[in-house]
Order: sequence, then C-alpha cells, then structure tokens
Amino acid sequence: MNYHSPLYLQLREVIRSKIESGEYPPGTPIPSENALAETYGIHRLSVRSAISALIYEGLLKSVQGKGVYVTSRKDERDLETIGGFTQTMEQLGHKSSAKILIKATREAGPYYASLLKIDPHDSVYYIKRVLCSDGEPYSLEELYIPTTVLENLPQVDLNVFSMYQIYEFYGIRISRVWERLELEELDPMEARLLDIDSSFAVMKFQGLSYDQHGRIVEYARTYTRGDKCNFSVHYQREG
Amino acid sequence: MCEMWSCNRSTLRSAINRLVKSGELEVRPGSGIYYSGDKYRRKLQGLKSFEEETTLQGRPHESRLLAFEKIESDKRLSRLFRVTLGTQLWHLSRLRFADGRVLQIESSYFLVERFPDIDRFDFARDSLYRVFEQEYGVVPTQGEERISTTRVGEEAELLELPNETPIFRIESRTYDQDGAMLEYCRVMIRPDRVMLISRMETRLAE
Repeated sequence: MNYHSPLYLQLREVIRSKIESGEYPPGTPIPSENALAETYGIHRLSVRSAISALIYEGLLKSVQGKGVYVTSRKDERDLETIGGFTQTMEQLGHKSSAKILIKATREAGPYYASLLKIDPHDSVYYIKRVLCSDGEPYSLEELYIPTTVLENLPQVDLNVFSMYQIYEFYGIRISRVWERLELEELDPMEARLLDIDSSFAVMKFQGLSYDQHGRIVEYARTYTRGDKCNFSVHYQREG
Repeated sequence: MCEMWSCNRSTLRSAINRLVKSGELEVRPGSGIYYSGDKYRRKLQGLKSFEEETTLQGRPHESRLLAFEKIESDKRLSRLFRVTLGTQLWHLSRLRFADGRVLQIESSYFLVERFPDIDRFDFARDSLYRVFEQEYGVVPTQGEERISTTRVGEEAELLELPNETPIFRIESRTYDQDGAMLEYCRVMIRPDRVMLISRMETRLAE
C-alpha cells in the first residue's frame, strides 16, 4: 500500500486500522459516506467501495436505515484448540446452537472407507448439521464416524451435546487431527443453508480425528462462512 | 464421459464446473479440459521456508522481488514490534511461483536495527529464514497465523486474477529463539492453487 494505490484501497486500510486500534469500537457506527468523502476529499463511490470491501470481510455491517456499524470481532475457530465448536463459541460469549439436518447410519462405501481405514461394507454414522451463532448460520458440517466407535449414538441427542462432549463420555480422547483448508463455492442448495449467495466463497475444512489408540474416529467436512470466521494457528519449529 | 458414468449432461457439466472453480481442472478454449495438477500444500506449522517446502514437494519454484525498501513503522507495526513510532523496518515483498504458476504475494517486515546490511542478499533467490539463521544467528522459532478470506484488489494483476475474486489472506507473526518479535508477514494467496494444511496435536483439558 503506498500513495500510488487506488484511493478506495487506501481508505479501506485507514478504516481497518481504526477498527483494529479501537478508534471505531465494535457496535458503533462509522462516519457516514458523505462525512468520509468530505474528510478525505475523495469521491463517494470510492468510499462506498472501501466500505463494501470491509463488509465482505465481516468487519463492518450495514444496518438498514441506520448506517454502517463495526461488528464485534469475528469468531475465531482455532484449528488447534480442539474444544469442539460448541465450547469454542461459548468461550467467545456467543450463544451457539446446532440444527441437525440428517442423522443416519449407512454403509461406508469405498471412498469413506479408505479415509476412515475401514471396510467399504462397514457402517458409519452420517451427521449433517448447521452450526449457528446467535441464531445465524455459520458453518455446515458433515461428519462420518464408524459405528464401532460410538455404539449408542442413535440414542444421543446431538442438539444437546457437542461431538467432543460425546467423545468424552465414551472415554475417547482425540489425540491428533489432520486438517486441510481450501476456499470453495457451494452449490445453491447448500449455500441457502448458510444463508448466502452461491457465489460467496466459503472455507472448506476436511479433517481426520484419531483417538489415543491411533484409531480414526471421525472424518469431518465443514463449510464455514469466511465473513463470520477467522482461523488462527500456532506454529513451532520442527525438529 | 456421460456414457462412462451413466449420468446426464447437466450433472456432468455441474461437476466439471465445480472442479474448474476449485482449480483442479483448467479449460483451454479450443483445446479441451485438462487436469491442472494438485495444489501446492502450504503447511501451517513447521516454519519451513517457501524454498524448503517447495523443494520437499518436488516443485520447481521461483520468486520475483516486488519491493525491498526501508520504511518507518506506523502505529500498528510499532505495536507489533514493540518499538517507537517511526522506527526503521525492512519491507520485503515477493511474488511466489511454483510449477511455473503464480501462487501468492508475501510481504515481510523486520527490524533494520537487527539486520542493517541484509540488503546485500538477493531475496529473489535466497530464503529469508535461511539468512536470519545462518547469517545472523537468529532462529525463527514459533509464531501464530491468522487466516481469513478477502477479495483481491490491487494484487489482482500480479496474482493474475479478475478483480474481486475471493482469496486467502494470512497474517503471521514469527518470534525468534528469545521470544522477540522477528517478522510480521502478510500473504495473499490464490486458493485455487494453494491448499492450507494443518497437522496438530491437541491440547485437551485434563
């Protein structure tokens, strides 16, 4: 970013730093388009582009008839702290909920069998659910769990307990997770579940969880809204 | 293909479209649809340099220097490095290629005071982490990264993407062996060519 950069990008960064420094605190409105245009002597259209970019990133939110507000910090799903999404959300002070769309038992089939290292004829639980924060959808999750891992799962109310709480009840300790993160567009039906346009990119997660015996307990595929979520990772020198 | 898998044309087209969008298939007009090769795997942990990691994956890599200059720290960088406003920082910006394709733009910031003559190295060829460690005895030891999505703006031309395409944005802070802030880096990544990989041990509450 330098003085040659397009003005709307420069303004985007100015507003971003004011949000990060706390000069524009969360929950408060930023100056109006006109006010910003006048303060910086730039065209209203440039101001609008700067603001749209930050709305897309989830830092600002446009409220009909009232203005543009700074949103509270995006929720961070730490790739590393395996607290199960429910626990993670509660730590951040949001009311979290899950809506189970499908809960079924099916044959693994060749693809999932190779991921879970089981036989294609073995059964797996398939759970499809939408995770919400303060009632707003946030993430679409599909889980595949070999039935031998959790034999009473059909009786467990997944609306009440998170998967990680359930693993704990069964004495299963997740000891390693492999995850992969990509950006993808959802098909229209899935996009609607997350309350977005299908052209909106989502962060697609895939992960394998192992228990303390090295047995694979879960394959998860999650689509998370990039405007509601950041991810943070800690890293360390290896070897 | 419709015959091979007994599906109808629109199902096939929809599947192909998804693979084109995710970067696995590439449409070459007049020529056909090609498998474009798998994505470069950016490991979120391990602190390997781009040079090391691409070599490990057997991918020819290349870097192009976009900027290498001294700047003065603004409020945000000053706080990150715990220095006073206006402290001199190196700003090193590079365009990264692997397998002949552009992947990402990396902008790194580190203190001039610690590395006063580091501009004698050619970072179009050399690894910053290698130079830190082997030439200055400063070891990149740990850090944290924040990953988000954004829409490409002024980086569009360099990344060869249409304006407003969604991309990954990563901000990382790396600390040295004494726990001092070593490098702040911002990376804008083409998600169709790069996959982010994480492998971790959990920290379970006892």
